[in-house]
Amino acid sequence: MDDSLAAFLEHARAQGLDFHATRALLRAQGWKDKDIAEAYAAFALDVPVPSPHGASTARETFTYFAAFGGLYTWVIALVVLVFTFINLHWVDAAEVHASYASYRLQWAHSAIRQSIAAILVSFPLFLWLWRSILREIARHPEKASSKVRIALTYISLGVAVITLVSDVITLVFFLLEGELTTRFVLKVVALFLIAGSACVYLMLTLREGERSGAEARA
Amino acid sequence: MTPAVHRAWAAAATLVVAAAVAYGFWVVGTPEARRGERMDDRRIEHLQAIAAEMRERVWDSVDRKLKRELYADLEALKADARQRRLILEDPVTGGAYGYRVIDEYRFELCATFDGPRDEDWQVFWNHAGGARCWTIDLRDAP
Repeated sequence: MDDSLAAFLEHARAQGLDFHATRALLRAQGWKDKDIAEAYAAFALDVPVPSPHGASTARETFTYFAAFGGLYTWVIALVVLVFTFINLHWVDAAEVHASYASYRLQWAHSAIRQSIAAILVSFPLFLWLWRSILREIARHPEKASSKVRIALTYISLGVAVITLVSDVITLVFFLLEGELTTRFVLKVVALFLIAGSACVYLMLTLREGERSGAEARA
Repeated sequence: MTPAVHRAWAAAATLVVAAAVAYGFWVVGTPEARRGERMDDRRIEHLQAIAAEMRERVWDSVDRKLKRELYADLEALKADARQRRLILEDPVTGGAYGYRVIDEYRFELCATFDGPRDEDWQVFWNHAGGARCWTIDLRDAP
């Protein structure tokens, strides 16, 4: 807090000015209501002013966007990596360059290197951000119901559910078309497992946020 | 959700990711090996440029006859080049590529490679690791 503001508040009270007059003076000088309120609360009160339920700070918003950005990056890179492994081992004769080992290897190796690079950076970053978020929630349980957290979690859950449903629809369609190959089924299964795990985890964390929110309101 | 559950998910994700990355590294090889592969690509490009320039300068492909005799050394060819600035030294060791005139129509180009080349294109230039020479015939150039 600004020291000059505290000193001014003290002086104003000593001179017998009430809060409304003091506030009018400060506002005329260009101070914001938020600054005045914070300074006044710190000066006059011993208990900190509580934050409303679900309020998000800029810092919290940034952390959540960074964490979810990291999550998307490594999950997508993991899917690409697994698909590339499957492509390498189960060659489809209809694929471009299928008969040419070195063309396939060059493409696959390049995709693998890109995915590894993405994972090596985004996965540790995600773990670190996520851990700091969980610690923050452990210290301040009301933060589990932060609006940013819940919004980003629901969006991600939506993406995961759409992926899962499209995955299964594609599987059924290919089954009906009689085009099921080992390679295809393995990709569907891999995507199902990865998107499914993300889905389950996100639902569990959401439930946690809602429960702590209910407790905070009660 | 208890911290133990979060930790279990983190551990499972780390395990899967680590396994995928480790397998990926196993498939693509080490960065050093990749570096060697890329250097080998440059060596092949250098040899191909020398061979192409030699053929254009020496061989009349329309009348299928020699325009002049093969250059005695690559420096002379480089000085006389029309299409490409030739690189005559290995990019890593700096040593000159091997060159030898075999007879009127044929010459030999040599280089030392870090690893094997096993590509599906320009298969003439595939090679194993180590030293390798190619005999190039002007009448039947690659």
